[in-house]
Amino acid sequence: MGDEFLRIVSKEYNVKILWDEYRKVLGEFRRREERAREIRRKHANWEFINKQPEPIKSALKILVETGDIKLASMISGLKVGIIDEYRRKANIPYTII
Amino acid sequence: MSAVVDACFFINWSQFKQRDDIFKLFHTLIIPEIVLDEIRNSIARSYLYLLAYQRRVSIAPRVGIIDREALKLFTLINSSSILPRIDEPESYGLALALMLKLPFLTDNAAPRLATRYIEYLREAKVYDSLIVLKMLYKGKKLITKVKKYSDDTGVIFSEERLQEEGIKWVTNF
Repeated sequence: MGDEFLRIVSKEYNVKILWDEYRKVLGEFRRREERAREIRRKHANWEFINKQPEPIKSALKILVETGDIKLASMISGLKVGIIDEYRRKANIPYTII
Repeated sequence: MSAVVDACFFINWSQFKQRDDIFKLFHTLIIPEIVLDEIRNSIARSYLYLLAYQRRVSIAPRVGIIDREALKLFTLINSSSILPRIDEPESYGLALALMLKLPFLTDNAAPRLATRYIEYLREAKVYDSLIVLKMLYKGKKLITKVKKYSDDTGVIFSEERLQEEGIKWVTNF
């Protein structure tokens, strides 16, 4: 999808995007998220995660890999609050980058 | 001054042993009605009941005019395929905070990052728990409290995020 969708949507809403800043944010986010992923993988209780039924197991794996609880919620169909409860049980840290 | 609060911030903050210190900054926390359903954690729920009893929390009803702004923010922020997503309750909270010209408290990076590249959001005040800790405590006390906050809540701040706020501390991140 790249930047194209954001271009279309911002044009539709007549909203100015500061593209240089956007690219800077993307670069920073990619670097920080890679390190955060390593931490989540390291701290996560994989035995607990692998024992969970679907879709909880997949939601937790998405969370470890992306740190994005909204994405995990959207794909699994589970509410954010439920995933957050299991996140704590699975010892997946909440990483603020 | 009041602040609008998102579920992730409220859930994390409610686990912090010095959680009531937040009222040194804000006399009332405003929680949008649609965020309430996201607060399922038992500690956070108990804290919510306590604050309601103490009249330190206010529940904002769902209003059409804010819904329209929330949909716009939801669509704009989620149009990036790489940056973190925002959900509907959170975009409603951001829209409400914008309209009321109040700070929005969230631990999701998406709204904070959006204030950097969406021009009309540059005026928005989006604070994560690290910013709130920094507003509350200074110097060595701040470092102690950040560590305490991480221990109590399981939240880990990245080294870059700490540096951004001028906090010199070697993390395990």
